Amino acid sequence: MSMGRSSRPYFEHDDRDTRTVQMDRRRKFNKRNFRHNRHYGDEGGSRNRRVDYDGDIDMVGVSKRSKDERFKPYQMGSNFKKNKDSRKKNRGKGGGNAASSYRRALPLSNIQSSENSWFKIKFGYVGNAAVFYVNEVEQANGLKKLNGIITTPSGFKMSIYCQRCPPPVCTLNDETQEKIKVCMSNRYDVAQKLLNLSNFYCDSGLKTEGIYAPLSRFNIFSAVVRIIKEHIPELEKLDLSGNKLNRLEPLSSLVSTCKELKSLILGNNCLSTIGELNFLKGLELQELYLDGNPLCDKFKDQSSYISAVRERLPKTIRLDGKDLPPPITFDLDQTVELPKAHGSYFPSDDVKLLIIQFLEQYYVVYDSGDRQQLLEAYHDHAMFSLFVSKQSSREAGPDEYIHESRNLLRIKDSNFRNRLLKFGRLAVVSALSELPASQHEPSSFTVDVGFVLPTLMNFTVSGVFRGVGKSKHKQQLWTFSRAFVVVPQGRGFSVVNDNLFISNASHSQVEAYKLTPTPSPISSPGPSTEKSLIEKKQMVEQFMRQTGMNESFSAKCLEENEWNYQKSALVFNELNMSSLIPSEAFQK
Amino acid sequence: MAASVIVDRKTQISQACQSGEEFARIYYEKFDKQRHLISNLYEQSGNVVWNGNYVTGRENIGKFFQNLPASESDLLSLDAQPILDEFVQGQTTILVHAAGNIKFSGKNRCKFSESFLLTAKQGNDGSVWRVVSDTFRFHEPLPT
Repeated sequence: MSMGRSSRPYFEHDDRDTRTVQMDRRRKFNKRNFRHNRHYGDEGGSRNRRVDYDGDIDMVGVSKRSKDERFKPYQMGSNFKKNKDSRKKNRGKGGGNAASSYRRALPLSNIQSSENSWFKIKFGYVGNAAVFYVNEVEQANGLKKLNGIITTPSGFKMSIYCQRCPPPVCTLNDETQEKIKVCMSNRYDVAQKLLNLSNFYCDSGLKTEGIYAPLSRFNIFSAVVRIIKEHIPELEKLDLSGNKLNRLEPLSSLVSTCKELKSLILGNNCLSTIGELNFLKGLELQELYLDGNPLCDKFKDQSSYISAVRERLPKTIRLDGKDLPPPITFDLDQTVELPKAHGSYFPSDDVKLLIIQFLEQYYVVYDSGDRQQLLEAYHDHAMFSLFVSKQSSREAGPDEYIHESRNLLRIKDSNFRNRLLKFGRLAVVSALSELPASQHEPSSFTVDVGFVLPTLMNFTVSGVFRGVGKSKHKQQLWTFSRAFVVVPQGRGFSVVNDNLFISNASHSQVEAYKLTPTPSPISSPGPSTEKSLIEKKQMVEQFMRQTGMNESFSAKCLEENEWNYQKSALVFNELNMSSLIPSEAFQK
Repeated sequence: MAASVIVDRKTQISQACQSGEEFARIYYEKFDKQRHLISNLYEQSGNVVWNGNYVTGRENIGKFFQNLPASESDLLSLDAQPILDEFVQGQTTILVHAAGNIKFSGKNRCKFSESFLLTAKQGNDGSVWRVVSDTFRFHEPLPT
């Protein structure tokens, strides 16, 4: 700033000199000189430019430059004139208009490699303006004061605009991920099994690539964790210090993969509550650094801090570089494991044959669209009821079934309970016919026979089925469990009790059955619809990878562009460039 | 006669509902907190098919459940139906079907459903319900 002020009087009060300078400048703008300029500029810093201008620039900077290195960026930025960006929020962004011909004169790497440079983050050009981000409002304000003060070599005053704005959007496509991966492998010490990701957002390698990848962004952090899981699960030490992290949730997925991780360095981040460590529960950490996080100041004394850490990570023996007294634990031998789940249980082959035959016929008819034929399966005095449950208030519940749901925890009125319990085969079959069309997934079925008497048998079928319909919503996957009580009739049996439970499929079921819809022989929704569904799913996944947006926004973007991938990508790029995509789109 | 049959059935239905509700409440409470008592709820010759694992007899069932890790269950949904007398020769029997989430230590919380066949037996203090069959499943794909 002082430079700016001192240089102006110099021009204003000494008319002769100013004129000379300006004339000289104009003269320098012929083609020959311009080539020169570029040539020298490519070689390095401002010194070369000084040579090229034969001292002109020196006159602008007076002799102060050599004394005050801090102003170097301004010198280099002296091509800036104007900026036309409109984002506002919490990060200062500076910008100036660069005559495009000057870009090469000032290679990006010069600016970015300079240690004292303020052009820390994502320096780039938008149209004629050079746009970059600075971290602090003070820095931005300092830059702003130079608006109209610095004279460019062409004699124009350079305009500088500053705006508060959110950190730049960080999209993740395959290419970016690949570069992040390379950068991570450079930072991995194989001998020590140490991955040093400290100050990752200022990584010079990534900066050279023009990539801004702050771990404080959920999508970036998750991607980095994913790369760790895939490539270095043997990791023993992880340094994440100085990354402005305010949440540790993405690390939770390391618990099951990185069993060897013993040391975690989280110093100098923005973790504000000790509860963030809950995401690390299960890691057998011995060493932890938390110093330099706001959460450390919330403890009255050292002992409560230590016990809060140990409560979550009981094996910690070194905290913030200090040895802790060894923990005394209990030996409860809690190594009990759940018995492995097995497939269907039948007490005998006869029973198995009988039930399998029944179910095959039953579900072919049930999924056929005409359930009237099920009449034969039911006893005259059969009973049927169904009940549903919603696992959490967040998910869309089985709305199509809810009005028939006889969940006794909710339906308390006994008349209503009676009405929801269908009695007699006609009532049962007509209730079944009213239910939405379905497509069961026979490969998901398990049958458990609970009780067999010559006169009565009960068994439970569970598995998944899909709704049938054109919209994605209708084709939702449901999990079910169906308890039957049957009595012998002729060579087979007839159903006397039928109780059906329906709920949203669990995540693992959705994962397992999403891409293998086996169309039933009767009511196949048609191969073309099925194929395009899978294709759409794959497109959404690819789009998510490329744009870094979450599933719903990716699907929305594709849907609005008639599932034309290239068109969608173009639209995304346009919107993204103009910062018109809400930040929720990148939250996963 | 027809009228009395209907009344009878309605009584049976509401009895099934009440008993089912009470049973489910007691069952999951004992399962989580007093596992050692759970086998008392089973008939001497009762059966359990737990995620495909077949266990028969009260004593074995008790042992099997005691060996499962600690649990925390969350009952979300429940239904119950009577089995009509004509099918069980007057041996009062109900079908109880429960569903919710269960968290076993060492495993993530997951969806489950469980269906029971309960039959009324003469106990020390009048009639008691005993489980004759119990089938339990996680709502998850089978491990490969």
